[in-house]
Amino acid sequence: MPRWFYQLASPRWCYDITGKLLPLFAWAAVLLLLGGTAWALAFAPADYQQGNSFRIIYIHVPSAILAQSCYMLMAIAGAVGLIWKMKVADMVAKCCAPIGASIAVLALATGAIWGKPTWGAWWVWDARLTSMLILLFLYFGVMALNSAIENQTTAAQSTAVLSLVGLVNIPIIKYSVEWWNTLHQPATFTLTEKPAMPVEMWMPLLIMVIGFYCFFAVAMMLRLRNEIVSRERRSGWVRELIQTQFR
Amino acid sequence: MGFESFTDFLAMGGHGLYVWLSYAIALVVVALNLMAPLRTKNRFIKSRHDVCAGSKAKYDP
Repeated sequence: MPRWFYQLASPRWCYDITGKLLPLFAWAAVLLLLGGTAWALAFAPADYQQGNSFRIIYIHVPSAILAQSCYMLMAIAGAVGLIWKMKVADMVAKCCAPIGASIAVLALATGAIWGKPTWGAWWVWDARLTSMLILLFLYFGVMALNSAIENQTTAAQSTAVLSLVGLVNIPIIKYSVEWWNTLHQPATFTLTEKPAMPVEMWMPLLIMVIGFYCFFAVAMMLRLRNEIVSRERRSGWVRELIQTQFR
Repeated sequence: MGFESFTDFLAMGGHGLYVWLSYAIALVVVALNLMAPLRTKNRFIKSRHDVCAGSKAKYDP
């Protein structure tokens, strides 16, 4: 195992490094999200079929991508915690659930709002929409299970197993628009092909996606640092921190 | 700029309600995700100071 892997396992090292990274990601998120939103709302051209309602894409697609990435991070962190008994990984997995749930709500809500003027319905029981709703329920399940078990180690192990089992839903969401007939349009971004939209439409979308990831990093680190000091509250360095910095 | 005027911008070609509602919900979700951990942090600091100031005990639960 490389050295950084062991450093990651140290809560104190993680607390220090996230303290340094937080302002960087916070500034990146502010700049990208403000710039991206201005571009998305005012400067991107309207869609020739959907008109201006298409501007919802700049919230909907980044939040849908992030909700799934967050789930994958939660499952991977849970697996790392299970295999190497790494406490910080357990904490990361725990912090992912509430953020991911809120982002999944955002993706579903903006999808419904976009669906009304475009399809004429707020909701349809379509494969993409249903699998996305299952993702939200998986997040709720992980949160409920985590808070139901008092012992932190047992709670982390159980939620890790649940999130790993739920991982099967991620490819279902991804390929739902290809496997089944659906109202939902296919993926906007793929790794292999150029986007079907012009550059002045997809560039702000790309900026928003990166901005959402930076925002996630900020939300994640804020929660993780709380989790670290809360669990390490009896150790010397946290006591010192409270007496010196948090006066 | 694809809009003639500010009223035009707000109207979003008749889809104003849908577009602005989406962005408003996004703002709320972002704000909640930042406020919740900051509140937790403040509560934690307060509870720790109470522990230190109160009992002065070596053991704390």
